[in-house]
Amino acid sequence: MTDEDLMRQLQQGHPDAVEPLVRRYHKPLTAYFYRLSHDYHLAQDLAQECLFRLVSRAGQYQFPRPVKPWVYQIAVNLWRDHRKSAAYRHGSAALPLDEAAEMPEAGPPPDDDVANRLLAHEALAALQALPPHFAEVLVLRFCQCLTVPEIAAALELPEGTVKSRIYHGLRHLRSRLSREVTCDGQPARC
Amino acid sequence: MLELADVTVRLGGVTVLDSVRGRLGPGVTLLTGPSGAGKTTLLRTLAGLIPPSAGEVRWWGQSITAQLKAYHRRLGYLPQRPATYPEMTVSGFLDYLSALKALPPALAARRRDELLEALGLSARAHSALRELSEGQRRLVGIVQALLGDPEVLLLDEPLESLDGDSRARVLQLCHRPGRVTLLATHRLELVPPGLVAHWSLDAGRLAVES
Amino acid sequence: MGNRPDADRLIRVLGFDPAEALDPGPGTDLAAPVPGPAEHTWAGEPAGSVPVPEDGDELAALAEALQAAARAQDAAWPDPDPAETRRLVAALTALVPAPESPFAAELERTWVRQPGWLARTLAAVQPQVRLLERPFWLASAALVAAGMPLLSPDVAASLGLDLTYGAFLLLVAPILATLGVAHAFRGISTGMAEVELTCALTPAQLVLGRLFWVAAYDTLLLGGASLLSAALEPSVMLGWLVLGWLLPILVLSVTVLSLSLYVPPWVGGSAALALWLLILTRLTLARDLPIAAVTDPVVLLPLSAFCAGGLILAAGLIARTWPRLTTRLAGLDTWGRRF
Repeated sequence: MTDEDLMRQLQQGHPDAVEPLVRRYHKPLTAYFYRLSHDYHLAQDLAQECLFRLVSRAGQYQFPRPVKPWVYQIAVNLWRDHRKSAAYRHGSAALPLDEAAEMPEAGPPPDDDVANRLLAHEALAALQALPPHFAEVLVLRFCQCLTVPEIAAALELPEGTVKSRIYHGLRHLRSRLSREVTCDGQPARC
Repeated sequence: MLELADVTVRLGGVTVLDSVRGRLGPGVTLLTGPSGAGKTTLLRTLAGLIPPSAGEVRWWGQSITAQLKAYHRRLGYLPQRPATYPEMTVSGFLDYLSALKALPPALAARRRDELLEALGLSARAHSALRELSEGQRRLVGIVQALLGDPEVLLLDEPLESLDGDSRARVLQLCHRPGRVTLLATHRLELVPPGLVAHWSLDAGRLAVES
Repeated sequence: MGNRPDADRLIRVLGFDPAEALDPGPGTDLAAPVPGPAEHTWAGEPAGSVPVPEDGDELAALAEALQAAARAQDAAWPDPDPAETRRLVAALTALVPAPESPFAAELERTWVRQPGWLARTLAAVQPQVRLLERPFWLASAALVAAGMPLLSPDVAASLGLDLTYGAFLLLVAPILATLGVAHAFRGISTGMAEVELTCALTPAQLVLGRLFWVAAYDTLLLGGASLLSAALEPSVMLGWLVLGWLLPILVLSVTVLSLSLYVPPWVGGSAALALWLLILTRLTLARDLPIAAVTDPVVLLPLSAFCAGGLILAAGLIARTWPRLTTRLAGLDTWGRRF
């Protein structure tokens, strides 16, 4: 059953649709919030809150509106609200790159190239330190694997703006990292 | 969310709709314009009856031609001239269309009765359609459009030949959370103010008024 | 670095042409100006071309590295604790809203069940029998029954008719088919087809459903009458008789339908019937053969050739309107007006 069918079921009051939606989105949402916050417990809390909002708003769902961008729209708004909150202001200003680099790391990418592994590690860590409007599109595009139209729907922006933010966000990330890049790595696939 | 993406319709060499662009969100949108402006063609294009010569109609981002059956399941449509099979009774006609709309019979019968009640037609449920007045036939047409509790409702001149009370009831029934309704009329005076949006069409070009 | 930039690589990893990002058109809003080393600015390439930036390869590698790191992170990420998931599901289940409309809820339950194609087709075909009202059933049966007195040779002789009941059926079959199809598709000229084509069935299901009921009823009537004729009229060969009326039912049904895409069904039906009778009389009476000779191969073979030609013409008429078939079935002509 597609996400859209599940949401439709939920909208009609069928609780059986809850578990498949949780299994599909709980882990990716936790990963999304972790990539922005580098705080595992916060990421879990926000992911659960995102799912709470999704289910409680099921009555507003209009089939066959694509669900994935809607889920991430809720997630993006949650993150923005959190950033404005007192907890964020007191607890976590943008981490310096070296501290972010020390966060629990899942492991090296499959490539044996040491330079690329270090780059991948630092690039992921550096996302958190980017201006928010760049960080959110880069995470959605390259980590959560949303397409440009899906990101545009999630952020309620024109596709042209999304493309510009992705491109310029990458350049911003590159200049922040400020290091030579090898050009021989195999492209990864989302 | 219904979207017109640069829709152009050419019929018989004449450009009836010219690069029409717009989005219809939940709520009632009024479509006005002089006769011959293209209102009926626009509604038929939105209903999937006339394919655009250029551009496309999208429902939640996907072209309706790619999902026509699913779209039609959630569509309610009233043509400009209320069409019926005159020899059928009111309830027989609505049962026939309920079956074509793939509505479960018992559920559809209940829904039919509720709508006939809401529009004051319960007493005529077993009358032949040929015995009804033009206004009553138009109300039956509106009932058939609402039978499936549609998410997209396209009504072409629904308020013609109706008295004030019936017009108010029709407009009340059109409102439903989440439903996209486009109501075409050339008689603005029949429509109470305060609708969500107002489009006006002139010589195939669209202006979003509000 | 010194490597030639790979435009395709950057486009592939971004999912779009970077030129679109540099000149995305009016209304685009960037939240912040772009920082970056001066040597990596654009040389003023026109929008729409594929001007690969000098740092394009680096950007592509960076994006690929991000993707790779994210995939590795996802793979290594621990799965949620099953007990925790169960608690979460239970908490979320309590939030599932009550349906706004019990009608809509029941409707969605029905539609989600998704029966097989046969059940769906039957579900689309079955309701269309309601379209064929009592006058159709009775008139068709009456027409077939009208010739039954011919079963008695004495009655036929007293009427001065050199006509068997079997031959009568051959004359009546095209009339039945034409009237039936024109009746079934009358909605094309009344505007009902516009409403029907916005229901949950395809144009093919609409057409085939109606043709099925008309053809099935005509076949039932004529089949029964043929058996009666073969039993009581020794000269009748049942196989040829059935072919003799089955062919016009098939050909005329399709022809009337194809003409109904251009003119009102009654006009198309009358034209098709007139043409059929003209051909039939040319092949029989004009050659000093009785109408009953239509079951004779000397008549049936050229008639079959005309039928094949008719089917090809009908197919051509349908194919000609194919891109606008739905519009035509709705009864709208080239100018979008009702015909």
